[in-house]
Amino acid sequence: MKDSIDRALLEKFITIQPTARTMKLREYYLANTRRDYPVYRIEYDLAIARSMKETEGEPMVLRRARAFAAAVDAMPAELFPDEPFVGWFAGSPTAIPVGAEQLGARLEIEVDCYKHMSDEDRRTVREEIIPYWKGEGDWRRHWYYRNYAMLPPETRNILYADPDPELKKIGVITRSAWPGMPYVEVQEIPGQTDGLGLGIIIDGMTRQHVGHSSFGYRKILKKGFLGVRKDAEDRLARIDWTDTEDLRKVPFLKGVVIAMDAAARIGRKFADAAMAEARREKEPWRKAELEKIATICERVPAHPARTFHEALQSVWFTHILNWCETPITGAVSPGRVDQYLYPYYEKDIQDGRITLEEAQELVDCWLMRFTQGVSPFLPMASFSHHMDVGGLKEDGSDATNDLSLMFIEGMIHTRMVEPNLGVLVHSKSPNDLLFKACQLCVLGTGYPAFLNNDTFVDNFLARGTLGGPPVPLALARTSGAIGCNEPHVTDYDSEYTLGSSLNLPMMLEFALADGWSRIYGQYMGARTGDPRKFETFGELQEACLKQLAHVATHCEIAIKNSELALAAGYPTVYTSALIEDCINNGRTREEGGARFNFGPSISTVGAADLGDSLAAIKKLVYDEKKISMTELLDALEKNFEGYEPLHEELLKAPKFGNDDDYVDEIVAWVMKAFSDEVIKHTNTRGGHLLPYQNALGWYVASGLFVGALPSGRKAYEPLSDSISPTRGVDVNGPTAVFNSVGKIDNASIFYGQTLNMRLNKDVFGNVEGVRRLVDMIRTFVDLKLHHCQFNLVSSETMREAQRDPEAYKELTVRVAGYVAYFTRLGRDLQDSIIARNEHGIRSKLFKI
Amino acid sequence: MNYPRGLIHSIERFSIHDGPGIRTLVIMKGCPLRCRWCSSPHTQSPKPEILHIKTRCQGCGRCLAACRNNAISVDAGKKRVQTDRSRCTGCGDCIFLTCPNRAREISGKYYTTEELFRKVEKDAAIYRRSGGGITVGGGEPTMQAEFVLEFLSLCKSRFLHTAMETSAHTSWEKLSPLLSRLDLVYIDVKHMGKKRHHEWTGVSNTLILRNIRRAAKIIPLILRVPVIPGFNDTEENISETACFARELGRSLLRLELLPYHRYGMHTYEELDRAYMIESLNPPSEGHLARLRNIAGSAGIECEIVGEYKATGGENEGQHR
Repeated sequence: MKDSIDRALLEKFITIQPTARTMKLREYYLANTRRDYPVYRIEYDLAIARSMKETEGEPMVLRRARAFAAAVDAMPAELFPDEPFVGWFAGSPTAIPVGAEQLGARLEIEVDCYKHMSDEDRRTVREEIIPYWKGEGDWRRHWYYRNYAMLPPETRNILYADPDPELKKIGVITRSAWPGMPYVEVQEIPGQTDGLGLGIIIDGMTRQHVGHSSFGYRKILKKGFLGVRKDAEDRLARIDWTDTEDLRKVPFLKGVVIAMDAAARIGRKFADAAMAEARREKEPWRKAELEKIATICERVPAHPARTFHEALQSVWFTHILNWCETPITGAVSPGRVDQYLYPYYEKDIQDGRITLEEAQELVDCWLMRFTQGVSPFLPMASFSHHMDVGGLKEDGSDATNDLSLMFIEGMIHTRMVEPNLGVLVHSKSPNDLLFKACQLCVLGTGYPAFLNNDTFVDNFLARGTLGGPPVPLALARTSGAIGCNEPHVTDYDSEYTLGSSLNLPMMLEFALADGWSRIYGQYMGARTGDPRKFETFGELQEACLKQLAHVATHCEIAIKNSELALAAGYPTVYTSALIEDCINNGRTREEGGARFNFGPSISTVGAADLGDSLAAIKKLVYDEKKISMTELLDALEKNFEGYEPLHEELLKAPKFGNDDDYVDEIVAWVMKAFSDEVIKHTNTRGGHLLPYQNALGWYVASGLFVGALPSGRKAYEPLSDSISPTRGVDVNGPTAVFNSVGKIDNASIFYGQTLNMRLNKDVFGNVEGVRRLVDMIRTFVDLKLHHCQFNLVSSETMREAQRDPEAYKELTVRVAGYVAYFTRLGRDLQDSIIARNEHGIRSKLFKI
Repeated sequence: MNYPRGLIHSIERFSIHDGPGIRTLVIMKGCPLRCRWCSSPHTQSPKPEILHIKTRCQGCGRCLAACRNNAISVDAGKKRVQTDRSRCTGCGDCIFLTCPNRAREISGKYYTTEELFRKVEKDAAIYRRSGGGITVGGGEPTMQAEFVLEFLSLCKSRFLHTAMETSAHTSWEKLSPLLSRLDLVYIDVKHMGKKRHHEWTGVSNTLILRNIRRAAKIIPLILRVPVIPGFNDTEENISETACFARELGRSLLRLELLPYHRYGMHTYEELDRAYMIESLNPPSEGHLARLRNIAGSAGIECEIVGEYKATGGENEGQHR
């Protein structure tokens, strides 16, 4: 991606000059990491398939442990020039594992279309790996087989628009276009490439392994993998062999011993490789560094870390080992890195073992590793390795330290699409953290995500017993986010974010059609009656609630089936060993062995669309009685053709994001209703499902399933992006958006909601703009919002606005005493503003 | 109690160029001046007006049927809709459930002071954090002095920071009570020459300059010069303005130069009015810098405010 950064501004913000090595590595990664298609490696998949084949008949959890160990032992130990760390997701900076088991039948179709895969590997995939999972042709070994078979036909219909009572489609395991899943040009051939269809709820659990968690880094730093192995051995030693419950724990505990042993071994492998490389190396500084790396790998990850460099390497090993267990996964999140790495950094500095500049260089090189292999070739892409800086300590005091600023500095230096950096802000956040974070933001990188630690604390405490025991205050303060911005009880929770997803505006469509789905030509919603007979707005609201309850129940069924299938067919051993209290309880994460067992989510999209639509109906049909329900229904059916003036009035009705109580209160009601409904439903691990709103990229695809809406949105157009207002309707500026979102009870949307906003470059893209953004972030904290993230308006945005003015009505140019709306300006004026924007010319500052 | 109503053009949140911090700018409708370069002609008339956005108009003619004043005609051949401004009362019949293309809008809405205050206090949180507040501009606030006075009093009673942008072309009796409710005032000095001032704005500058001198005795003030090439952008005029500013003493915080911009041109079209200085270009960066230095060397602080188009040549911006 072209780096369109304002160089002068960048120079102003950098406090420690990035080293030549960092810049060299950065250039290398940007130039050489495949931008179009990934490079696939099969080491893990082959090892897993072979191991699973050999271990047929053993308890599944032991089989998984051995498969993990085999994959770890198959991990290539290649070193790459100039890197102070070792180990990659799949052996090299550009590679990812192919993920054969997860892909299932889809891999059969796609493997010949992958651009960067050796022919030999392709052959191995076809001749050895695929046949194992395919079995007799029905993919029975795939855990998804069990899931699909066990679903009731009605839920299958809701999920895939086909009840498939005879399980005809069980052999065809679909794969949808997930973030992180590569783009493949496959010729779609009916009968050969048919997948499962898409119903009215989306299942988020079968496209990749669940991931979406943060666990183990602290434990391995403190104990090393051999220390955790000992924990499992100690627990085995305490087993009462006459107690049935205790006996059930044995296979898992034995599996943990195997897995931890394997994980401990990789250090030696890389130490040997580093020594061999050191012997070959001519450059003195690099030779010394390779010897140092060898020493480090002899120590970590088997043993506790002692230095900052060791700690970073230990965390990195802990992280990449996940891919040996689950080759396709996402959002495995390093979490609060500035907290658990700090003691190692502090000691090194105090003992004079490292300088600030050297520490910064390590941070920079470490950060860059999170982008490689998975994302540069995808536009929005990533596996979302989330890490946080800032935040609160256990005792409620501010947790900012040197590393908090250094990690932000590192993002300023490296400017890649990963990691997903969050800055935890709260009422006591110091100015230096906020200013640094806002500097990163106004450079236009899209980072960081601003997360309200105060709201997080309310969130955890408000969860009560939804996940088992109540979350204690100390843990509520020290837990951060994972993935995009989901609050997560770090190290102690079996939760993972993605369960299944429903479409909020669809609830209104069903309520307006007595449960009839226009797209599928059948009744898929609840039967809530003829909307023309609703005498009050309240009756319409009731109907929407009934639809929500109906669909949410199917979400629960889908999730539970998935969980049981995973627990039986793909239990994790490495992951479970690292989550407390699984070893002590002798149960996997999937079986609810953790201390807390929240989630996953029923997630949703389109709250703003639903709120705007309900507001329009309330105003024009019920309050002002200017339109009849019959007229409205006909207009929606016809996608407003022949109803243009009516369409205009619907578009002019109050819209969320403009700080207008009339519609904002309705959106708040929508989110409360959604949240209240979701937490009624449970998981298989002893906890409840939790509400979530984050469309990722789905707000476009989700729109394809929704017809014309009373908000004025036309049929099949994109829905709103999470809790961000519908594009183009927020014309009152960013503080109005904050106020609107602030009227929602954000702490009760337990997995959070995403608020993406656009900032004007002329207002924020300069030194004075940083101060404004800091003020806004403190207001964000005051208003108890959950999350916000910003993009600066680029010339591309403005060009888009020229092409699609309706979607960019809110874009402004601000000058003294004047606000010009970009889409109202003449074409040549727009062009000149774009040109100015591209040359990075900024307004002169004025002093207050 | 008789609540005065004010005619408001718009309420702009997140204003950053009209006072300290992040502010809300209330733009009043109605102005006694008729500056040739005015970028917001729809703030001149003290009555509500209809904007006809011709880029969206499809010439369908539904508005014609709806108009109660026979103010609309359609040239069917050219698919062009015309509004007879002498007949139009700004009632808005041509809009509601009529225009399918959002090609007609009303400019100007009435508020009571309470209603207006409820709107502006929505950003109280950001005012607190940023040291911002309310700025009243327009149009010309002093044309609705009674309303503005009551509104500012209400703001002050709630401890909000207040500022005003005014031409100061009004009686001192109207102006001074407003100043007593302000923390800061912005006043334009469009030209130091009385005759030239009158040619381009429609009014003399005598009253204005006298009011500025009196204001400087009682309130912090910022003088603004909209820099219009060919009118006031000469070194002599800026130098004279700077000297005038210096004589005002310590109340004068600084002089601001606002480069001419053309962001408002489309509004003339929408009002069916001709734009008087069609071919004028904004001043060049180099020229503005020179003017700023001249002001600076007269001993006062001078800043250039707002966006302007970057140029290469020094001579760009001369009136052709």
